[in-house]
Amino acid sequence: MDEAALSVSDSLKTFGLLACLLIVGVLAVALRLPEQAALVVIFAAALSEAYIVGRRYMRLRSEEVLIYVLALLPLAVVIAFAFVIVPDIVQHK
Amino acid sequence: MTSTTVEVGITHLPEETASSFEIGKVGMWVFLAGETTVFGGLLCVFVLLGLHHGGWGAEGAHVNWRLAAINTLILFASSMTAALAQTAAHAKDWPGIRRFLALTVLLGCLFLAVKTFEYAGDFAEGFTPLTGLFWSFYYATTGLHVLHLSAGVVVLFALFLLATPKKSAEWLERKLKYACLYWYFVELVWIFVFALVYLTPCAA
Repeated sequence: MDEAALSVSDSLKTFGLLACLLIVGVLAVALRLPEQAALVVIFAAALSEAYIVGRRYMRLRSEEVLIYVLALLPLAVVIAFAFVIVPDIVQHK
Repeated sequence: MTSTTVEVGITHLPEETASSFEIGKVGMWVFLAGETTVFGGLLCVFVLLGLHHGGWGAEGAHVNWRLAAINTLILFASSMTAALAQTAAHAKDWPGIRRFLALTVLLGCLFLAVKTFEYAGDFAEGFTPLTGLFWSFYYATTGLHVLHLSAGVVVLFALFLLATPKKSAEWLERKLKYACLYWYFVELVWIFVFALVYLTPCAA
């Protein structure tokens, strides 16, 4: 794993990038974009923020396979969980 | 490539293999995996019930997304200072470690103060956990996040108190790495809570 610490300028750049993405997501609501467009913008901004936090701060890019498994396994469980309870929700409609 | 060995029971492992397997880091990731399932499940049910109800638009119009946006910015700033504390620990800069850890703790406390103000406003308007399904999920999700963030503040404050030259720099750097990993995870969870609980209902 690359343990090299983030420099001050790198940290500031990461913060700036996250702040810009936050503004983009917030503008989608503040400017009252059409619902579908607003949802696309909000989730694109949120996923980009998550990617930046994972890559720059949590340093997932340089982790070993075990850590990837530990990070992705619960997401797979949650997705499976969602599919399992969808029939209940459809039936109740 | 080192050729020295470390004795583990009766087996001899190459030193590099032994040192690259950080049991603390793996333990932290196992813990975070469990937390991901908890928050993932909660947010998943929130979204599916929202779809079942035809969206949370009516209820969601009352959430204070402006305060939540300010809190998001505060969390982003706190992650930056946490990363800078790690940088300072790497450089064995003790005053730097303490300064950036103090800033991270203060920003965490600021987040909690804003959140308290937000909850007070919601209660004043009559929106309690008993008001309806949306508000139950709203308080459950954000309340659970607040609990996690409070735990992070306590851990970082403990490290702030322990960050003295009496401690080994390597020890502190390692502990700081695990604590910051947790802090970044709490930030990651908030990114999705903010998008799903605050912004999405307002966009509907």
